[in-house]
Amino acid sequence: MSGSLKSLDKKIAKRRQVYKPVLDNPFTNEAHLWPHVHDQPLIWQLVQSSILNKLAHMQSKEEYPWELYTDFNDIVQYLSSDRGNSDPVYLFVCNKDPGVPLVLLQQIPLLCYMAPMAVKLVQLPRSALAAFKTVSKYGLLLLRCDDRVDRKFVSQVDKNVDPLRFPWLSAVKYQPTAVKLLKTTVPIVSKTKQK
Amino acid sequence: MGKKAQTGKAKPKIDDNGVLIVPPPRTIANQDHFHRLNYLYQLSAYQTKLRAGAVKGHTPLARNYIKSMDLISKKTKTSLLPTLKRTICKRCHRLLWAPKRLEITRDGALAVVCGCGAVKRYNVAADADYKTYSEREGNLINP
Repeated sequence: MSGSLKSLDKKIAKRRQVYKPVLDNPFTNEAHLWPHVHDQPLIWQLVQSSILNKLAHMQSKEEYPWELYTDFNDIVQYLSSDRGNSDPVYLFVCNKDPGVPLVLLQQIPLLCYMAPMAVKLVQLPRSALAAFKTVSKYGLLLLRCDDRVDRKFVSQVDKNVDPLRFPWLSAVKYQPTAVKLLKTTVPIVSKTKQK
Repeated sequence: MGKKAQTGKAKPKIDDNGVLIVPPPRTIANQDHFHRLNYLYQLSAYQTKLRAGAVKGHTPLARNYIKSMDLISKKTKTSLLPTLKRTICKRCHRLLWAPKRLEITRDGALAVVCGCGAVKRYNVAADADYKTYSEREGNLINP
């Protein structure tokens, strides 16, 4: 006698692994959706020292020294309306942290690209959300770059963050079919049981 | 003796959950259906882009391509990933690149409102870390 009934039960397969072919979005390429940040630690340090530390001492939104938005609805409203000013905006996003919904993040790059003003999308490093929690629930911060914002900060961000690119939107080019295999299981039904 | 062991059938692999492990297939059956769906989606994207400034997002051709794509996927039983399906309005078959409204509602759900008035709601407040089955690590593989 070798092994218990449980171990014997494990040796009999109840389900079978199957691979279902599925079509992926030809335009979604997560690696290129978010602009690359060249010097991530420097940018994060600048954001902390120039913005977050100052915001921590302020009681209400009226006291903010710059025009900035932290609520998702306010940010969307700002980006989708033409306000008549040509000031560029920076959108800082904690996209690598758990706790920020994926569906919400998927909307952001295209929203920024479609905005009437120039938007610099800046992804922040992992665990940046902890510093953002007091300011924004989902780790979003939109800053309008007018005269009140430090020029050095602006030049550093401009230098280190790549512009937003959507190659599939700017040029017509056929993308090859992205068929993936979805790993899942199905029950093994014996013929005698079926009858 | 050694020869016998080589020619004999390999023992099926069963994991701890009683699942018979099978290697992924080398080829995908009915690839032409996927090519067709992909082509229709890209045609629709092109038409949407061409008519980006149209009044009230009037893109009849783009919508028709997506409608065909949806019908073909159902008839041929080919699956689309949620990342693809989330970009399509179920009611009017528009591409939701620039939705009419995008907001987090009072109950904490993300609402994507299409030009036709249809709303896609994602309950992000319930579980912020929610991932669909295909988004979870290891479930989706490249053939």
